[in-house]
Amino acid sequence: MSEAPRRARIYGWRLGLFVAGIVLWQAASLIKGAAFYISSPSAIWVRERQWLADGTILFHTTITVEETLAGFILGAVAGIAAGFVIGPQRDVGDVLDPFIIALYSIPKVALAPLFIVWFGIGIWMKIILATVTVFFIVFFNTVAGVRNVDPDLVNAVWLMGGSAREILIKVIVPHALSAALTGARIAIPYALIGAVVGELIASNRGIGYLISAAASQFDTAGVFAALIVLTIVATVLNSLVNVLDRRTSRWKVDANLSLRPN
Amino acid sequence: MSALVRLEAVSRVFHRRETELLALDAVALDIERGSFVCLVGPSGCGKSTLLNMIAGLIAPTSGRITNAGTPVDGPRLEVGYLTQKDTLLPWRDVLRNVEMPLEIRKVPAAERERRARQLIEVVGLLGREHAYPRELSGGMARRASLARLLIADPDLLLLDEPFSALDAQLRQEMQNELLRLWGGSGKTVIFVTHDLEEAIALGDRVVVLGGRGRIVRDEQIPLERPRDVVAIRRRPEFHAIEARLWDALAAHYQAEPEAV
Repeated sequence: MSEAPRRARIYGWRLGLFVAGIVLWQAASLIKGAAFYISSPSAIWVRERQWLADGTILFHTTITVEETLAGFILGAVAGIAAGFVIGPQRDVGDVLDPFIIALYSIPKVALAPLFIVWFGIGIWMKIILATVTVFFIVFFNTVAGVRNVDPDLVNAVWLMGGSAREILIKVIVPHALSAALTGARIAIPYALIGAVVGELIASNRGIGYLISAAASQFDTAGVFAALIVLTIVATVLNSLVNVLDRRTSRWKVDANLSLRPN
Repeated sequence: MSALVRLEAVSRVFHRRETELLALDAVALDIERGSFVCLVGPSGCGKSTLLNMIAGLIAPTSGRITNAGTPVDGPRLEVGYLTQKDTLLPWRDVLRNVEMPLEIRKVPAAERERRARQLIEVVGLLGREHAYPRELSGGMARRASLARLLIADPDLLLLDEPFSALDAQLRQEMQNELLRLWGGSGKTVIFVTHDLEEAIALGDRVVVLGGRGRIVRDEQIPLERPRDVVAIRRRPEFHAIEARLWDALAAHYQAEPEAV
């Protein structure tokens, strides 16, 4: 069997399933009282168009994307820096290990009230929430990268006449950086989660706010409309990750989520 | 001919938790300058330890190793070591991997690249300069490693089962390639293998090692050069030598079964 017709069939089924879902949804919304709970595709469509026209979507999406990217960059930079400092110091790492694991184990959303006290309910609270989420992922991967350098690679450079400094620059740093990038790559969607959770908890802007504001007014069409916007943002971020993935997969290292890898 | 590498009563003890393991026991061996010497022995006989010590990666527990008259106390630029495992840096493409030894020697970038491209051509990897190691087949990775080894122009080549991971056909191809590159270069080669046929086909001299690096048999191989590793295996002299060395190995196993 050839691949092209199969693909066409898969796309056909997807389209069919999508249309069937929309139709069913629309039909279900006609049942008396149901529209209050599930709104309807037509009402959501109207809301999306209205929000697009009055700039609501652009405004709130910009805020959320800003928080996500700022949190991602801060978390990744801090994670790489901390990983490079603690990675080579095995004793320091072992002493800190239980504390770091404890901090990592806290559901980040539980920190949100504390961050509100510290940073207010403005954009910084969301950025910090995203930062904390990203930090641990990048940190663990960087530490693993510093520590898991193949001793045979180190020996190879030593045999070529490389000094300790050259071994650091030409072997350990590139290995740790590629591990750090792997961590950063998988952390991107988590940055979005951090930002949106922050917005859901306390905010007056952003996609998370849009969802909770609509829900508090029992505006189901608004909730669904905002969820669709969030889905699109998440999908775009994920495809960004896939592009990064393809560009680094020629030499990338595997991801890691603990201080004591393998 | 004078000895380039000289091992005098070299022993090496490894400490594993509470136990001491004697890997090499008073090994004495001279390697002549410009010769191709093959060390054959079962796994665990200490061949790799011997190479690691000649390379200067580890020190003998007792005894003395000299290279060109001076004691070996660390890696040297004039020694090239090709390990069993590929150690190409995964984040560098073939070209930049091959350039690496020259980069460490602070050779200017343009000169580095020119010589690297030249060697990539010599080992038959033209067109793969910008491939990363994980995109190479086993044979291609070996070729890249060989190019990286040769670019430093070492006088002494230490090869530790360099082709053991390759399939038979590719192995023969690489063996011929190695002989072609070595022929007339004046370089000294110490080639470690567990494959007796490979040792005889390649070497001027085959040293059979038993347990703890004990030399069971040390034999000159009177086959003419240049050689073709495939054709030479069909020669009656080859079989005679092989039978003799096999007997030595087998007799040794019976005498010292714990060495296996």
